Amino acid sequence: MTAFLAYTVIGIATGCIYALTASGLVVTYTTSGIFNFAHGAIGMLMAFTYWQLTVQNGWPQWLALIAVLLVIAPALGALIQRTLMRRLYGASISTTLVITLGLLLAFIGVATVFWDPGEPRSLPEFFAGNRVKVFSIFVSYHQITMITVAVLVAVLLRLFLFRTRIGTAMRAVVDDPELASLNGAAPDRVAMVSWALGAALAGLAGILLAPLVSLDIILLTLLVINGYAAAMVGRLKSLPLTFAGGLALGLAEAHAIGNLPPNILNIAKPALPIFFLYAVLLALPQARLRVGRVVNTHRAPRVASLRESLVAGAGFVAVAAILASVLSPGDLFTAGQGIVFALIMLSLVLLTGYAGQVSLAQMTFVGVGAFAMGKFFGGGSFLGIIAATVLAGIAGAIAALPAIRLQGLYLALSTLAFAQGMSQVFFKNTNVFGFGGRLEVKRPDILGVSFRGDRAFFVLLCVTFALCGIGVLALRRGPFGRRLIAMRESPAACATLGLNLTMTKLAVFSLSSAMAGLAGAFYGGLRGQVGLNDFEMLQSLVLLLLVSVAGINTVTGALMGGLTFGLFPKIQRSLPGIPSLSFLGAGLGAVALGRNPNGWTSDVGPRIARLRKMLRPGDSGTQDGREPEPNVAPAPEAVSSAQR
Amino acid sequence: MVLTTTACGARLTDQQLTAVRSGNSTGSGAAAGDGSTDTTLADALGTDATVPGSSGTGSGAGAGNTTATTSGSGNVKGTTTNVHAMPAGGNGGATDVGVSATTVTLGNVSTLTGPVPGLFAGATVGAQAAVAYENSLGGLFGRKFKLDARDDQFDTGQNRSQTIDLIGKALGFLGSFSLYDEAAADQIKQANLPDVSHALGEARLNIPNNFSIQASAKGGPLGPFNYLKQKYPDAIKAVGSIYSDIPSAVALHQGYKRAAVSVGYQYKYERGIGATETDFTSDVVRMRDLGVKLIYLTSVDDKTAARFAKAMKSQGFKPTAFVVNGSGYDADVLALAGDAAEGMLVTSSSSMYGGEDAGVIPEVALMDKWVNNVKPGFKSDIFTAYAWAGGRLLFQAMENVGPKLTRPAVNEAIRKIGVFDDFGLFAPSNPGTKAPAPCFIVLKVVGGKFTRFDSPPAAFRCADGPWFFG
Amino acid sequence: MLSAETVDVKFGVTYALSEATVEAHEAQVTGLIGPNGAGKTTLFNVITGLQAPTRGRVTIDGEDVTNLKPHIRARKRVARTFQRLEVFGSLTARENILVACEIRNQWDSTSEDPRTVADEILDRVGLREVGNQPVDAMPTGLARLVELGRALAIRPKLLLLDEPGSGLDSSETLGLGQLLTELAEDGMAILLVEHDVELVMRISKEIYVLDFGRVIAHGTPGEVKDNADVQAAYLGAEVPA
Repeated sequence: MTAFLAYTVIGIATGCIYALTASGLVVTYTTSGIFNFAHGAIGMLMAFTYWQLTVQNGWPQWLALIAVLLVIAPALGALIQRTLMRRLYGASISTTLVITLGLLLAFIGVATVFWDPGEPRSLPEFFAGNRVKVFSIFVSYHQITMITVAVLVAVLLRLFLFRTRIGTAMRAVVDDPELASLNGAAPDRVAMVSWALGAALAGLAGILLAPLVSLDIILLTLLVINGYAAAMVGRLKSLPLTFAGGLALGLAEAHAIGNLPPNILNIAKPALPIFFLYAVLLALPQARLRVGRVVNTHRAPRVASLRESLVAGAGFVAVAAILASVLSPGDLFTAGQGIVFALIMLSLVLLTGYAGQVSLAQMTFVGVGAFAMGKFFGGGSFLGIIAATVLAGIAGAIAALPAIRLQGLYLALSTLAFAQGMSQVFFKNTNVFGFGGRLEVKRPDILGVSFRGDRAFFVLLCVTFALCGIGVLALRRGPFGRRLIAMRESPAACATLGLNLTMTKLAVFSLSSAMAGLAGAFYGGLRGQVGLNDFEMLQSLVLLLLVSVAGINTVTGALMGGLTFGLFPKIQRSLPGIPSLSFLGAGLGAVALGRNPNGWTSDVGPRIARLRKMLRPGDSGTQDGREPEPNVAPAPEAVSSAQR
Repeated sequence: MVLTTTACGARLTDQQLTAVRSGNSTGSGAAAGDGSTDTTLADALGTDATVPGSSGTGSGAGAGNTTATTSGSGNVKGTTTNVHAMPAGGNGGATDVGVSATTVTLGNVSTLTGPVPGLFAGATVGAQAAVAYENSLGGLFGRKFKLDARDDQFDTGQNRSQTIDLIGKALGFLGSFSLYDEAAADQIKQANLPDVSHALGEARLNIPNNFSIQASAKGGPLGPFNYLKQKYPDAIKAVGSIYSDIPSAVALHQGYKRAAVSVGYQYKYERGIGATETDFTSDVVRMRDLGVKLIYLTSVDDKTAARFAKAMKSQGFKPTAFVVNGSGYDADVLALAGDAAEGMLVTSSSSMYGGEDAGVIPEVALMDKWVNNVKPGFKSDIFTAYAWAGGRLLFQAMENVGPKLTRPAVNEAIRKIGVFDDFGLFAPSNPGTKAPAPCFIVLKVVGGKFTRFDSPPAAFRCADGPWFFG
Repeated sequence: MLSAETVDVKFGVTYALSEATVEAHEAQVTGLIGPNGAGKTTLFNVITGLQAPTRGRVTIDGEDVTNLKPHIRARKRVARTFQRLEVFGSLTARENILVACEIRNQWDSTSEDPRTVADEILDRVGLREVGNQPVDAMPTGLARLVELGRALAIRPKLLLLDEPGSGLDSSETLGLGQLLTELAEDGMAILLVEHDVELVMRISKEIYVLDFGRVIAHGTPGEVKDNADVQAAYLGAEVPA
């Protein structure tokens, strides 16, 4: 019995931290509709700032706490809201995800610049050295502080949200997002307060966690993922349930360690938060199809005709063949990487650009493809490419199936859970990548022609990309493509036309992951070997970010994004003084995205069209280059009240 | 690909690292016997060389002018010429790739940037130090050495392209260190150039021309386990073990466990921990309640070791023995754990290269001196030591070859050197045959510092047991 | 054709709809008017399945559809437009209608070619000239017509229109009225929500008036116009003759 109680106490302690982390997330989400992926990063920054003030500059603890939690963190939160989030109210999940992700990377970059990761840093615990015996274990004062703070925060938040005017205004969104959204975006003041509050909560969690975890930039940032599961239990709106969810997760983990036999424990423990997340997501009731469109400010990109795409494809292959014979092996490899990533991004153009579905697991499918190519049919066969494509497609269907009723954010999070799950269960399995964590992948022979040479392989890769690009465009011009666009623009309208969204979603997920798997076969073949590190979930996030920044709904965008990606190491090397350039760059890119949701390549099309118009003035019928009138949904009640 | 390997990648790195460092193999294939003689050890290491049992006598020439020494490994030096000066009649000029009349270029591809900046920078520094030292003596046969160091940016593709590039420019590799070192293993094998780098990947390790200082092997060392058994005979019946859940670390743990079990250890609890785990209270409580007496951290990173020590302290749990394999010897562990690390034991197949042994092992002082020469204030780590030792081995081999420097000749010379311990810096092993070393020392944290414990002051314990290839 | 019986919809403590009972018959236009926040759009959402009622029943063509998913109800030939546009902005006007036709062909047994149908509907709603413009670039009024055309694509028996005339000028409104009358004459049941009371009065056979979620009046246009409660609800506004 004492053992049970002991683990319960431990579970409560860790659970409270999950709850605290999750509460901050929920507060920002319910009041702005934006799931802040950078929540943990904010907490990390605040923990480091606190360290800087107390350990480095010698400030007294109480002063530093006030400075960080009551001044710096809220200011940061308000700043983020003012500069970025304000424009994003009602935006699609792909946009908000990308921008908050960019923030995350930018914050990591900033932290790396200010605090060299090479040095070990630690924060002393609160009331360090003191502990109390509870049942058969010792609980430190710091842990008691954590529990107390978490409970206090939960109580205070409830009072704040129910007893104050601002809190009630925030709650209006909680209780009925529909009604609140009918009234237009939350007034700026409410939004700023909520982001300030969220940031302060993040900072609080960070400062409490850091002494236990050590001041590790990446680790602190990522720990928030454990909080996602708790936030889901609360359906992202109920704080008491969120608290309960955090406790449940903490208890589950502690009791698992306390009771399970080691061989089961080793499989169960790492998967616990993920299973939690998945279970909660699946238990969610079918989400109502929401009516109420996003203010649509971006131009629809022009779709190339069949003739145009064939010509472009042929030209692309021609250029590729020339490059293959001219470039040095090192440069050829870099270019090859770029094209592989362009292909992966193309699969995202299909899934996210056309269909509006967000997948945070794209690299997982790439990994499945690489695995299939390396493992089956001797490791270097044309059949391996087919296997890679088919297997990844099936994996995509499996990933999508349980979550297919979900939409938007929830669907994105379930793909995240899938990616994490695959990472733990599949890629770490020694049958997949062996004990070295690496798998050799060979290049194929096709119809007797060997593509093992670097140049031949590169050309094959480019041909594949061209074919896929032509295929994707053809799809877009056809009925299926139209349905995807329709599904993205208004799932509600599609349903009222009798469209079964489930089947359509399943189809596009499978197709997209199949293409990712195809890219995976080339990914492996290009490098010769792949390792489990290559397909981590965070890779998928970064990929999504890059695609969005470059232009998520065009083949050109995919190509540009991929090439940029491939060039990054080269750029990085010529600027060795700024190791975190990539992070800062990604962050800035995301911010820029906030201004042009179509990405920077979206300007390319219209410019070309304008050029064409200049050269052929008689040409009519092209719709680019003209400023569209934004199709703003009229605020219904406000307008009609004039008729009273 | 810098971007993409953030976060989880960084954490994984830490843990993969520990697999690396924990894989400082100890033990040999020969049967254990107490008071095993030099010849038994030599048999085990696959050479009939006399192996130095104590410090001070190296398996090759010492610094400075050579004398005609027979290290017993067939390296015969017939003359007493100054090996550093240009011989009369020239040195043959460009005798192979990367060689000219005045310079020899050596290559190094290590992970320097990435999610964890400066990850294996120690390797590059160590190589540079060895090169600087040799150059300070005048080089060899009128040629000075140049290190072409590259960064693979934690990326397989980069590693491959950099390695391939260097194959065309350097005589051989010195001190390369990367998690992706298998990326161009096939090319290295094909070029048959000397690759004196500690290999992490199996494919890299297995090529005939890779000469790893302290190659790793399947199974585990019986030496340390026999030692612990003799010292804490009851505790070995109740072992609790923690390791990282990365496949290579898991494999390492399982090999070590098999070795331990073969001499009577009983494991009551073992868990593979994930990259983002930081709270071990539950594990400590569980182990305490299971009656665990010996805690063995097989393959964890320094931060985990520190956190674990702190968890034990906060719960007031003091097992009979708290042992960390390999990576435990790290100043960061002490810094992070504070007095929670007091009494911690570390079994290691390297001497205390961080400086504690500088007084008794001159090589430690020498390495420290030259590391500080090329990078003032740099804290040597295991990668530095590997690269430095690799340099010493390589230069000795090149010295033995003579002025007509070719890749195959250097390979042969390394093999002929046979057993190598870098003047006591490392436990002796055989880079040519890839036989893992059977020797180790025990360190204990006393008064916040690492000190030798139950180990000879300047040498290794070699008699406790062979390697268990199971 | 359509019957929504004693529908309640409760949000928190407020009733968006309370005991609302509305019927729409074939071959006629039924009007649904009322001040803002009266619950008209909520009622549409309940009928089409986008909103679950707290209480009540929806019957279409004699069948109880209260528990059916939106896309299943749609396949019973129920179409609607939205108060706040739900057009497919990136697609052209023609494509909007075309995709609806293609979707219909998936679940409906018909031999009609989607393209032909789409062009026919495009003509019918008078959008032939702007057919190739992306709807995002269109003025709101035209976009509403696109939505109407899209709804017609599934050859509905019941058509729910939510303020289709908003943004149209007077001649366009006349055209719309004409079109709806024709559709009704062809047999369609049309439930029309409109703020253009004049239009509603002109083409509807029956009118329901909603206020604060309740049906406060029901009858012919003439009856409704003279109803005191209705006049009170529209407080001060002219109820045109």
